[in-house]
Amino acid sequence: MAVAGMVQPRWKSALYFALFVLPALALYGLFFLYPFAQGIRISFTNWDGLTPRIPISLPKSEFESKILDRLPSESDRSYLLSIYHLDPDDGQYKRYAATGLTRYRLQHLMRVAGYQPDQYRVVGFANYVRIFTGGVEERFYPHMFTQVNYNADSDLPATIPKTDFEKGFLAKLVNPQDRQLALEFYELQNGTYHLKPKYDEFSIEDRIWLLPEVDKQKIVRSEKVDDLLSAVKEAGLKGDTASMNAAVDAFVKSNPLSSASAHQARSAAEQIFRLGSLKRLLAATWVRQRFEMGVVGFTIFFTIFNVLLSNLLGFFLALALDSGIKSQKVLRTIFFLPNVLSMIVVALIWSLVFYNLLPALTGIDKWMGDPDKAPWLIVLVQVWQQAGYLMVIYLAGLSNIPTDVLEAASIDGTSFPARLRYITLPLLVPAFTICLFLSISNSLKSFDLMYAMVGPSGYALGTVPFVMDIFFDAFAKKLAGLATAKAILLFLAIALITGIQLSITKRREVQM
Amino acid sequence: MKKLLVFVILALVIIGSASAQKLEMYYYKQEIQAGLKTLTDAFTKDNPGITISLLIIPNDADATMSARAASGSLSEILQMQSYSRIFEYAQKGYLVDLSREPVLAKVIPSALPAVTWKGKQWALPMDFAGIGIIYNKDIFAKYNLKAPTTYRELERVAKTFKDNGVTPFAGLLKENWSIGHFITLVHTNLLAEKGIPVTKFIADMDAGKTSYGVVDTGKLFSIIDFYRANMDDNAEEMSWNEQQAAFAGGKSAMMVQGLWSYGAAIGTNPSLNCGFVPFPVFNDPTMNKFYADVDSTFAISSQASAEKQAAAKKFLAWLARPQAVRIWTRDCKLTSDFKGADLSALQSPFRELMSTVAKSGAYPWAFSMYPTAAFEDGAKNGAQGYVFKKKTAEDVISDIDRIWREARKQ
Repeated sequence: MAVAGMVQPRWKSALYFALFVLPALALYGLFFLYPFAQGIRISFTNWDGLTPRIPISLPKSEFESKILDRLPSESDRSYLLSIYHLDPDDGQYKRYAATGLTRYRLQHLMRVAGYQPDQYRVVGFANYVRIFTGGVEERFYPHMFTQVNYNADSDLPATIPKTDFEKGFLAKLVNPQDRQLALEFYELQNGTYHLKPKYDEFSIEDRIWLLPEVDKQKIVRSEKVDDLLSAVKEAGLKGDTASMNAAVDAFVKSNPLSSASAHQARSAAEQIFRLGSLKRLLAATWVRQRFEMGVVGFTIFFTIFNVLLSNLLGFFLALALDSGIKSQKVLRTIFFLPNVLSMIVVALIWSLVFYNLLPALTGIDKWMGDPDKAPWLIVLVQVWQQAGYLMVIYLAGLSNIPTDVLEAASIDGTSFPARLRYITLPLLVPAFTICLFLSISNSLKSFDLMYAMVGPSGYALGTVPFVMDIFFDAFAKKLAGLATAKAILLFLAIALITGIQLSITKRREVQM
Repeated sequence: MKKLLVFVILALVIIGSASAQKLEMYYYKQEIQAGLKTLTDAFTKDNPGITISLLIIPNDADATMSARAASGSLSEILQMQSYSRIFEYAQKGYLVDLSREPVLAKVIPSALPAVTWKGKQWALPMDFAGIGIIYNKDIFAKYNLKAPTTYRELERVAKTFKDNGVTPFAGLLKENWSIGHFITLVHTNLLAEKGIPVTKFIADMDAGKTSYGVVDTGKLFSIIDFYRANMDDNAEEMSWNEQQAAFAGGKSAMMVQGLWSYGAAIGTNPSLNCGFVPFPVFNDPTMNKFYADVDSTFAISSQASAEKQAAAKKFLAWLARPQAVRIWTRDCKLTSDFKGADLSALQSPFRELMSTVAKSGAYPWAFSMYPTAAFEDGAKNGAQGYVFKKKTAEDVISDIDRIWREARKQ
C-alpha cells in the first residue's frame, strides 16, 4: 500500500496520454505510417512519377465509357461532373487542381470505376521480381566488365603510362614480332612511353592535306581526301593491302595530281596503313577485366569501412581525451567541429583539397577522378565528418564508468590493456550499441556526400550509393514504381541489419 | 464598433484578393534571376491587378516539378525546356493548350516545332540557344590562328596549341551533361551526313525501326576521343566551375559549350575577348552548322483556376511587346524567339550565333527530342562512361538503344 501513494491518479495518466502520447501517435500516423503505406502501394505499380492517378483531361468518349458509365451511384456521377467540365473546344473532359478531400473522393471514384491510367497501373510484384532477377541496370549489381583502353577508330595515343604499356600491353603480347612492332612505334622517355613523331597520324595526314593541289590550288576537294583517308584507315585496320592500293589508285587517277604529289600521297597512305597494324594490336590487347562493385556493392563497401573506421577513430579519440589530457575541452570541440558543418560544405572543402592541394603536394594528378581512389576518398571524408560525433557518445560512455572500479583495478596492479579489456570495454557496450546503430543506418542511407562530391559522375566512377540510385531512377529515368520498390527493400535491409546488430550488442550489455 | 472595424478590414482583404491575381512562376535558369524580377515587375506595372512571384529551382528542376505536378501544386507559369519536357507534361494533361493564343502567331515559325505536340502548341518559345566552340580570340591571335571552319582546321588548331603548351579545350568531365550534349551534337551532325532528318530518326527510334548506331560510329567515337585527348589531363575532376576558370583565365583556348557559359566566363574575366563558332564535324565547311534550338519556354499549368489561367495568358501576351523583349535581351541576356525582335542589346557572341544561324541554318537539339531517360542515362552516362573507359563504343550504342526502347514501351 505504501507504493500506492506514489502512483499518479488514474485520471492524471490518462490526461498525460491524451495530451502528449495521442498527438504524437497521430503525427506518427500522418507523417510516417501513411506515407509509408503509400510507398508500399506505389512500389506495386508502374508509375512514372508524373502521370496523375485522377486524369486531368480525357476525351469525352473515353471519359464516359471508362469512368462515368461505370459508376453505379447517381450521386457519384453528379459529383464527378461537378469536378470535370467538358471543354467545347477540343471535346475533352477537364478538371482543375484537386486537393484535400476532393482528391480522396475522386481517387475513391476511380477505384469504384476500376479506372487505371496506363502509366499508373498495378503490376503486382513485377518491380521486386525485376530487382531480384537482374532486370535493372547492370551497374546496380556487382559485376565484371572489360575496360577497353583504346578504340581502334581513333588516333594512336600520344603517350601511354609506363606501367600500362609494359604490364597492360607489352607483357600480354606472346608473339615476338608483335612486341617488336610495339617498340618500333613507342619509346620510353622520362618514365612514359611516347609515340615516335614519325608515326604521329596528324603529321602523316598532313603530307596529303598540304599537297599543293589540295591546300594551295584547291583543285582536289576535301571530301576526296576524306574518302581516301577513311578508306586507307579501314584497310589498315583489316590489314588489307589490296583495298589500300585500290583507294590510292582511285585517288591518284580521279584527281589531277602532279607525279611528285601522287608519289607523296602514296607513301603517306602506306604509312597510315602501317599504323593500322599497331592500332589493331593495341585495341585488342590493352584491355583489362575489372570488377565493379555496383550500387549494391558500393553501398556495402561504404557501410563496412565507414562503420569500422569511424567507430575505431571515434573510440580512440574518446579514450585519448578521457585520459586526462589538459586541453580536453578544446580538443573535444575541435574533433566535433566537422560534424557541425553541412555535408555540402564538407564536400566543397574536400573537393578543393583533392583537386588543388593534393596534386600540388604529391604530384599525383588524379584523385576523385580515379575510379580506384574515389570510393576510399569518400569513406575518408565521411569518417572525418562522423568520427567526432561518435567520439562524443563514447566520451559520455567513458565518463559513466565509475572511477573507483578503475582505480581499484589499477591499485591491484592490472595493466592498462587489461583494464581496457575487462572493465572499460564491457561497460562501454551501451555506447557501442548506439554508435553502431547510428553509423550503420546512416551509411546505408547516405546520399548527400556522394551527391555533392561526385553526383553527376557517380556512375562512371562507381560511387553511387543505393539512395542516389533510387533518386536517379525516380526522377531521371521516370521509374517511380521501381524506385519505390528499391526504397522499400532498402528499408527492410536497414531494419534487418540494425535489428540483428541491436540484438547482439544489447545481449552483451552489463549492468553495474 | 470594434466588430464592425474587423468586418470592414476582412471585407477589404477579401475584395482585394479577389481582384488581384497572384501568380507564381517556376523557373530553372538561375542566371536570369535578376532579369526575371525586372520583367515581372514591369508586367505588374502595366497590369496592376496581377502580381507574379518567382520560384527558382536551379538543380534537378524537373525532379521538383514532377513531384509538384504529382501532388497537384504546380505553379501557374512554368519555365520549361523545349521538346520532350513539354511533350511529357502535355501528354499527362498538365499544360494548357496555347494554340489559339494570338501571341503564338508572333513567334518565328522555326521555333514552333519545339513546343508542338500532336499539332498543338503547349508553350511559348522564349529564347534560342546554341552549343558550339566558344574561343578566346586573343589566344588565337597570339598564335596567328583563325577560328576553325573544318574538322581538319580544328585538328590543326588543337595541335598548334598543344605544341605551345596551351590546353586546346577546357575540360569538363566531372559532370555528365556537357559530354552528353557533345555526343548528341556530333551524332546529329553525322545524321545529316547520312541524309537522315532528325525528326525521322527520332520517329524511327520511337518505333524501334533503327539504331543509334545508324551513323558512322567510328567517326562519332573518334571525335569524342579527339575531344578528350585535347582537354586537360585531369578533366575527369573538372566540373563546370573549373572549366569556366580554366577558360576565363586563359589556360585553355576553347570550350565546347552553350552560350550560357559565356556569361559566366565574362563575369570572371571581363576583358575576355570571345568568339563563337560551330563545332566543325566535317571537312566540308557548308556542312558545319551550330547545334542550336529553342531552349526555354513558358507554359501555363492546366491545374490553375480559370481566372489564373487567364491572367497567365495575359503575361505571355505581354512578353511579345517591344518593352518586354528589351528587358529579356538586355537584362536576361537571352535571345528572343519573337518575329522582328530588336536584338541590339545582345552581347556579340549571341549576335554571331543569330547571324550565323540566319545565314546557314542550324542542327536542331536532337537531345531535347530523345525520351528523358535516353538522354539522361543513355547519352549522358553513356558518353561519360566511355571517356572514363567504363563502357566501350558498342556498349554506349546498345545501351542507348535499349533505354530508348524501354522508355517508349512503358
